Amino acid sequence: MRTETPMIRRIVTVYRCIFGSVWRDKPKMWVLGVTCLAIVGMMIGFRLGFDDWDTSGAQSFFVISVNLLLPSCVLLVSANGIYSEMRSEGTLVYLWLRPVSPALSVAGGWFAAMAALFLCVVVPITVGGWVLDEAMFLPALVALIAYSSIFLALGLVLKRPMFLGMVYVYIWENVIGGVSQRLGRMTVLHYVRSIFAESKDWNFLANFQLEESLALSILVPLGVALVFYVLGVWLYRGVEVP
Amino acid sequence: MTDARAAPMLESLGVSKEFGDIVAVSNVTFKIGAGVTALLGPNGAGKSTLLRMLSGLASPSSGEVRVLGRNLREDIGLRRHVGLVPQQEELFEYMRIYEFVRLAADLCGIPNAMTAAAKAISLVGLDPSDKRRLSTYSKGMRQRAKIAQAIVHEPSVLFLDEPLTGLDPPQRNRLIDLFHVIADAGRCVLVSSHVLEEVQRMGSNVLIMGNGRLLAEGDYKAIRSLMNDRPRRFGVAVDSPREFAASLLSRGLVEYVEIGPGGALRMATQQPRDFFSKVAPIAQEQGVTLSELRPLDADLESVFLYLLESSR
Repeated sequence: MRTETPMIRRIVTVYRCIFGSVWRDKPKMWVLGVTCLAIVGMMIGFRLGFDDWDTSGAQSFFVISVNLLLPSCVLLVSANGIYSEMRSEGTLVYLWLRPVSPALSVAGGWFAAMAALFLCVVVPITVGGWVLDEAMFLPALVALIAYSSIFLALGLVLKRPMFLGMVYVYIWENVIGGVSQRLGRMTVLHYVRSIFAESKDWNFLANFQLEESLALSILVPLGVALVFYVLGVWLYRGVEVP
Repeated sequence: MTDARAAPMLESLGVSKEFGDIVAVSNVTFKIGAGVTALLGPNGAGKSTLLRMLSGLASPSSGEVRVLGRNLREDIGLRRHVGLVPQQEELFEYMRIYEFVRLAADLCGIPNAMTAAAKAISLVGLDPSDKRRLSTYSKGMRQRAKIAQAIVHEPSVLFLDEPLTGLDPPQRNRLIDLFHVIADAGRCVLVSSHVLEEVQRMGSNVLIMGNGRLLAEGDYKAIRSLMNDRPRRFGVAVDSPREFAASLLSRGLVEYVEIGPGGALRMATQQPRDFFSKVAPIAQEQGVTLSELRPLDADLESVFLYLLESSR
């Protein structure tokens, strides 16, 4: 006897549908591919080019890949490439007008974005960190989870989220967040750096007054992710579908 | 035939939609039941906006929409009973037709999704085993793919926004028949269109929109009778336009005649049936070659211009 499609299968269906859209979006995958190559290229360059590569090279690699490239790629995929693009294209209707809970739909989109970004950005960063003798998997993963959630919600609010997202990444996270410890605590990057600072005594990290514990540095971005996920669910529920 | 009083399946109660200072839909109230109902109106009349509100995609600025007595935007489970063919052409381009329709079946949680998807695809005249991506489909095929995803779960209420666009006549016939079959099964089918000929074939029950308002509701024959108090305009091409125009005027068949560039005649008559039956014999009688006779205001847009004028 056949039964109704289980709810878990519906989430997987949403995930597969959105992941397929991201994976086959040639311009975005081209950018992600170039980013992936850039990270690998940096890794090789720093590995070969610096005498003290275990510090300077790794520091530069961390700043460029985790501070700049990762959030930029997440912005491109999560904010611009999931629900925002589906709204502007008109394909969101094929997911929205279905009896699937918004919580599950948003979760499907979130996981789809993270899966693509994990493969194209977090894996190369992790491999790069491994070659440079630095454990970069955890900070990169935490950053991915938090940024994905933030930008997914942004994509549900704005039709063109890239500009505001770039202001957030480059101005708020990287500039204003570095002005003081108080402001820094209001950025994801602060906690990502803190995870790194637990094991490293890099000069540039000392400038940011990173005093958070490892547990807090992981939990706060995950909490931020959860808050923006809930916000995303609320926005998805009320979104006006073109 | 719709019997909204017996069992209204779709209710619009004073629904309005505003975008800033622009009123796209103004205070639209109607109830419809099972059967095919056509939503008519010229481009920009507010049909698509109204359809978006009826199908839950947008919330009204004021008023209330009820589908099967419930609010579609709030009741997520109710979406299982609703299907929509949107106007926009975009699909999940990377998918094959079967994957696209199966996606809808899976998300609706229907039993035996594989069989249902194959059946829906066949019903619209496409091949479930077609391995081509949707990105390679023609406009007509894309349109049918959208219809297949909307009917795969056999919804009680089906919204179709300009569903016959891009289809050739045999495909149109097939789909119009399909809409009737769906409606005959006790379902509510609301079809938006601006092509009067299509609407006439879809059923007699219509909702007429103009300037964001519901201008008329009911049988289309009544709408055509509304047109009879307005002169019907025709374009005529003959080899002796002046003599032919004078002859028609002298017989009182036309109210006025304009002679355009190249001798093209434009005329208006209050007696279109008489005009049609007599114009060729008159031409023959006068030895005039009649090379063209075409209505100038038979399209829906013209009809609605009249209705809009009347409603002011």
